[in-house]
Amino acid sequence: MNFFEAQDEAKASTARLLFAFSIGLILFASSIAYLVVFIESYLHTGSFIPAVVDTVIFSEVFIAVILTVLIASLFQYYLLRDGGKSVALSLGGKLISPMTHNKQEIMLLNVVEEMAIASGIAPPPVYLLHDQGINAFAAGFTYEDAVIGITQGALDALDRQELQGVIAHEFSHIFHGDMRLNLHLTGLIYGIVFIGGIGHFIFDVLDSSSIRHSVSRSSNDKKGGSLIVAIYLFALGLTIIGWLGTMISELIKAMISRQREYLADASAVQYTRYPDGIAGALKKIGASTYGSSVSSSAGGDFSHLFFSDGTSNFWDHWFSTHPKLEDRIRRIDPRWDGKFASEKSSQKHYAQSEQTTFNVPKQPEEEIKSNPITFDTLSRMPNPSGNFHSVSSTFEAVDIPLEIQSMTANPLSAQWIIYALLLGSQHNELRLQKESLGSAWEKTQNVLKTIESLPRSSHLNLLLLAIPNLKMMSTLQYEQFRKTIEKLIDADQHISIWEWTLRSILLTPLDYEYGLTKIPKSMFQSSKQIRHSLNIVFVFLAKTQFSNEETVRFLLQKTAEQFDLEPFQYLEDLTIDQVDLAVRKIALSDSSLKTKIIDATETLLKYDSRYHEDDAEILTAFKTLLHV
Amino acid sequence: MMKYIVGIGIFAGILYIISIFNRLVLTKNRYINAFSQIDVQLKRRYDLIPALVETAKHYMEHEKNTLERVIAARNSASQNLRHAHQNPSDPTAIQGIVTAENTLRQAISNFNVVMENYPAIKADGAMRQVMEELSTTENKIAFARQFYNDSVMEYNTYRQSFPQNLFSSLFGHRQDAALLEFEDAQEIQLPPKLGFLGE
Repeated sequence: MNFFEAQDEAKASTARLLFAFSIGLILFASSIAYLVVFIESYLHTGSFIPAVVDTVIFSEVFIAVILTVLIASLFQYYLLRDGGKSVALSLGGKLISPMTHNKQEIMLLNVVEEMAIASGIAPPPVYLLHDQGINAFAAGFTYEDAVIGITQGALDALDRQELQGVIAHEFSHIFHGDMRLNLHLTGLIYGIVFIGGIGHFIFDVLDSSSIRHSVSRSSNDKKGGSLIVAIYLFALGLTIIGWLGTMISELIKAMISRQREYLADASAVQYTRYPDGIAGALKKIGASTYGSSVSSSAGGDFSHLFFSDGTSNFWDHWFSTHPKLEDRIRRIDPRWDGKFASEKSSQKHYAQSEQTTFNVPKQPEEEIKSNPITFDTLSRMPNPSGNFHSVSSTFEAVDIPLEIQSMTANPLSAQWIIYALLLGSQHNELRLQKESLGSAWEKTQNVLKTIESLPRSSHLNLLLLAIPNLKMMSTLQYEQFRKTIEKLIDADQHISIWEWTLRSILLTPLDYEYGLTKIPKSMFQSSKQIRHSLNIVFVFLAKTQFSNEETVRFLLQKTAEQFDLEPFQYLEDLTIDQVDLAVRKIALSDSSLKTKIIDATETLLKYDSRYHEDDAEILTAFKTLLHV
Repeated sequence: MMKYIVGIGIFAGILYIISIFNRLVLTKNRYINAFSQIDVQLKRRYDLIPALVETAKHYMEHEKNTLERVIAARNSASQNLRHAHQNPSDPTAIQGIVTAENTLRQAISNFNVVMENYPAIKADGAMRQVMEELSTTENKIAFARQFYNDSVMEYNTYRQSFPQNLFSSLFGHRQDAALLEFEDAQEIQLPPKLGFLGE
């Protein structure tokens, strides 16, 4: 497949269809204007055909119709204009945390990052749908609020290359602004439906008894009679033109949507340079018993967003938002024999590719469903992206007792675990903390007894386990919870490093989830712009590793070299507030600078090749705050 | 009436020229940024390799040579990258990266072959994790190169097309950007498979 050519073709087709759409809109407005002119003429002369077309009335009605369509579509636009996140949530998606320990999810996030690089877009948040069909979607109207979703079925059935193809396809939808285009068209169609709706409305009014009464009374009057006829005809005309307009515009919209799918398939080949990946994924959908079905009731509303027709019951071919599977495959792979691999052999293919391309070992389906985070995945590295403490040091996560593990699964008991992690040791502090916990105090004490026996290194894992489930709280509950956390931390008038890391790791994703903060836009490209903040942060980091001033200075110099900066200054006193502020400023840098910063942080933390308890915690907190 | 039409025409013309200027800037910045992405990913890989070797050591004590060769190639590549950093305009520095990269690629490929003799290593969880990391980084390098070349192509095509070519040198876009040619140019058309079976 010549993917650049295919892209140009799809773009040209879209342009032609958009042109047809606007011509259709003009025809629609003119036919209504003509309708009014005819009825006008009928009222005045008794004949539908006017001697001369009244251009004033014609243009007035024409403009009125266009304006009405535009205003109605703006209104609809306003209603639908929710970010991608809300679409993902309404489909029942679960956000995949960047700190996930699930191997499948780690690979998925890696693939998303790869495609982000290939398409030049920042990696969007990724949501997982618990469906066995093979499907994926992209939603959101700008690069910033875009999200990608994928079904569990796709993760299970596709190998790494096929997954890459699917994700690349979704990136094309984001890159080319397809969701926005679709939204505009939906808005315009709504405007057309609205005008047809006026016809319906007039019928309804005429049907109501009072009008009919006045009709029968005035029916003696010839003029009144013809007025009623005129109104009936007007309503009928509006309804018919509205219906026709809606059908035709829906048809064009579906055709545009199909072109965008071809465009996305071609772009997927451009991004991956590997046609077999996406073609393989499409073939597996054809072969799979689940197909691409998505069970969520909202699936139908969003069918245009999906990788493949999201709903099982196929519409009429003409109104389908996606081209036929066979056509898509043939465009990518012209030599295809037209046979979908049977399910058995596609499984076998999967098993083979697992060996060669280093895929995630497949777990039994039930296990994934009932227990998404297993022991095994927990006790691996503290985080997926390049932290090697478990390799180069003695880091060994300890199994967390099943009893506590199940507590993290419930949003209420997960709260107690977090509280317990924050309890202090001093008498005064404890007294204050008891006050702010109120009735939760006893529960927290119980939890504490179980946790106390666990080694320090498991605390981070506990925290990470609890966070996804804390997202199930209502907004009100979260506000309460957040206040309590702040009180517990402030009880001793001092913020320890652990308190700071816990607060960062916990509240950053939750604040985002509950809409209290937004992911910051990048402002800085060069390390010079944030030199001072970097200085503070690295002094802080170096001090957590070494108490010896000499060594700290040496490390600071080494680190500064990585950024091509003058050596960082040694700072005597540093409050955790300063560090917090500095990290938040650094969070505003762009992704390649962030990668550098995280790399430098890892290097620094690894420098002594000893494992400090809080290394992983600090690194995780950093990554969370930087949104990496 | 005529006056207005001419006025609107001129105004639209100016807007169009402004848009040409902005698009030139946009596409240029995109490919420059694309280049820095390659750099970031290369460095990431150099950081990953010691971890890979460290993990493999436990299983491959008798293959010291292979491991040392990987490390040596990594060090030289990393040094070349740093050198290119200091002299970004020096073409020999870029060439140095390319050569060192190829040596490294060979060493890793060799390492993969040798690793085949040690089945136990495949089952190791930490090893799998490092390999997934390395494999994604390899992919990212390839994609970053590819995106760079795609961006360069977009910039060049736009710059050379009519009517932009009338303005591009006026706006300071005199030269075509250069495509990155690696010796393994054909190989990078495929996403590198870094599996246990090697290439």
